[in-house]
Amino acid sequence: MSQIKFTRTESHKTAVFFITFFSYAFFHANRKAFSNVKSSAAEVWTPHNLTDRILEPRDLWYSHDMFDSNDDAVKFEGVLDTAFMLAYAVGLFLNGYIGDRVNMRILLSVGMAATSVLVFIFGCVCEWTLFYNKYFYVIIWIVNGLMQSTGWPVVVACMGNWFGHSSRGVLLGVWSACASVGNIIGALLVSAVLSYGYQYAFMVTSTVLLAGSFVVFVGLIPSPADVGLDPPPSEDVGKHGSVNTGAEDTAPLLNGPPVESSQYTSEDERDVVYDVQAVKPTSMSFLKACLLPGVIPYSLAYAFLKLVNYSFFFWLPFYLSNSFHWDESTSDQLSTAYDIAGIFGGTIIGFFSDRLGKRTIMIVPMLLLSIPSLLLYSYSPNDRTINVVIMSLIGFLIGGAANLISSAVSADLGCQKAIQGDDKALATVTGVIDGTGSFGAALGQIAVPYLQTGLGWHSVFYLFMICMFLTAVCLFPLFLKEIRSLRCGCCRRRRSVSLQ
Amino acid sequence: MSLHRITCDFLLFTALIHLMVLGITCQPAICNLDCQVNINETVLAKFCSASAFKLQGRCCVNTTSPDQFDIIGIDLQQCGMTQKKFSQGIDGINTLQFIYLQGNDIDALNNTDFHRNTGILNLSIPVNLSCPGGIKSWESIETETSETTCVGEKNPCISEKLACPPHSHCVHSGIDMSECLCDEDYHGYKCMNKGKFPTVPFAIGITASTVALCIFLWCTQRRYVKSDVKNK
Repeated sequence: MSQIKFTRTESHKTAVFFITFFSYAFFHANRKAFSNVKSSAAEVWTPHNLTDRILEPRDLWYSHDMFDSNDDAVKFEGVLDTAFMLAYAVGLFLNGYIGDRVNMRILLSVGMAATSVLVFIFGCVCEWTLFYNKYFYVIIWIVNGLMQSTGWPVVVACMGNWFGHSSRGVLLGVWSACASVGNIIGALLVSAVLSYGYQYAFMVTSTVLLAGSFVVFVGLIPSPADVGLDPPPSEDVGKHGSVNTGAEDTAPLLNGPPVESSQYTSEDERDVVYDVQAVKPTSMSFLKACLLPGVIPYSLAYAFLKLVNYSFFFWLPFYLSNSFHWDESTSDQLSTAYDIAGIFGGTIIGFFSDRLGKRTIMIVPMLLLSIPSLLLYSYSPNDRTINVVIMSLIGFLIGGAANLISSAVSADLGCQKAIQGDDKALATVTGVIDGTGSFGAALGQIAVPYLQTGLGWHSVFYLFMICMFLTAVCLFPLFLKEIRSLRCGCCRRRRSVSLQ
Repeated sequence: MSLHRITCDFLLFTALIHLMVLGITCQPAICNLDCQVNINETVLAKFCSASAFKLQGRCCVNTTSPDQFDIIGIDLQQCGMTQKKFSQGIDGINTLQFIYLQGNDIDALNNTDFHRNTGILNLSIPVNLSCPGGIKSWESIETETSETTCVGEKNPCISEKLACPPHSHCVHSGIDMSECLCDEDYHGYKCMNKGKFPTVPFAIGITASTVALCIFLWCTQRRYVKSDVKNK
């Protein structure tokens, strides 16, 4: 009997892992679709701009005149990115809050389906009907931002519901690759169909997302309680009463020793979990969730970090094709190196932070190292190999840190001891951190095209370096605290082990 | 051009027998003008009867098939032509090689008045006019007392080495006129698109895999959900 139950739990866990992974990956593929067709879209929105003579037939070369010049179109694309990210940020705060209160499966599948329809309208319907209108595009993209924001809080909350803290760093490190995998899926899909017309890039990614929404609707089980299973063991409740007495405000980052839960007998486990059926967890207020220890510094840090990370996400292919004159498909494919390195970064750092039981102590050095790497990248020569190598280094440091903060750290903070029996803050905290981050990212997207057209690409990289420095500054107090507690934590742990 | 064809077809059907008996094929009105110069005494008539072409009214016609013919020459000497009449009259004809317009009171001729004629070998115009498109558009220009002859229309794509944006090529489209048309396989605005998206395979593939995945997940996942939770 227990064997069967175990297998079923594993089956559900596997399904949840992959469904949430791919649902968010497909969201990201849709976002990536737009950043990868930027050059093509700018071409489609503008008349031909060679001045030596008028080309005939005029319909073929001049009939689209939403913008006069490519620069204007690129600035507009920056405005679209910003509108999207602002709406996305607002949506994250809202959906984090809503996600803790409604059926997460329905919320996620509706969000995916709506996003799919909006992307289809933006990319395909507007192109096929030749309806090019700035205001319409902006409105569609704002609603799209709101709809896409259903994704992250829900999938993180589902993962948090199913997987315990002890394996969270490495597991969520691997899982948080979903954004990067989505970028890669998006980049490959787009470069495969871009030659048919940029609208097909949107059509393929949005169709896949719609298919994903059906899959989520049919297959997702948001919480073990839905199928009558126990939630994963929550070490915070039972194990570390002794560890956390002194350092309350850094609790979530301190109480994750590298102890496998298998060390505990099943009886111990049953003791520490509360009965979900009997006591229904109440949802935490929004303000209370914000004031949880660690949430504010990580939110601010993530705002600066996500600005840089998303600027790479939105503009890297454009930078490569604009600055080095590589063709769009090549740039799209090369830019995936950043994402791949980000996956490795997030996973490796996640693994070591699990071992160490601390995350900030690993993240801050990465952030500081990224500053000279960015300087190096801004002087990268027009050579694909060198460029990709430095790009990967930056992806490892920045993408890795961003992946870790947005998933493992968010889940830690959402499940920390200060919440006690109330596990319903997960989506809210995730929403707050990612929402603040997205506000930062939103501001970045408008800054990049203006800095680039006004002062050149170097100024963009200086902005990135400043942001990375500020990210490190925000986390520095936590970093110091973790170093201090690492020393005390060692002697305490020894004591608690001897007690057992 | 197509309009012209439709009218011709209509005429062919309505007056089929009549036309067959008289051996006349449909031709534009401009070929049937009454002019002061007898057509049979013109250079065009001599050329036309000496070659395999047929003289029809004031036009020299190359009949390629019963319902299709190319007007390769037109003589409008002293026909009371004006710029507007001429331009409208030859609209839809793009196979002209010989054009005679001397002896008319035409005050101007633009290259666009000749529409899409790209193979003009001889264009004779009143002396007061200069060759349309300017000197660069012709192999040579001969001026006599009563007429100016523009000889050999040049292809600007070649003579001016005109370049076109990527995925398109230059096509001669009239006197001093060129177009940039999409290369083979390329299409769409600015010739940016290549090939055709395989819509049907894509639709079938995505639908089939979605249905399969949904059935699989329903069997392994959602059916375990307790009904009280499901209904919540």
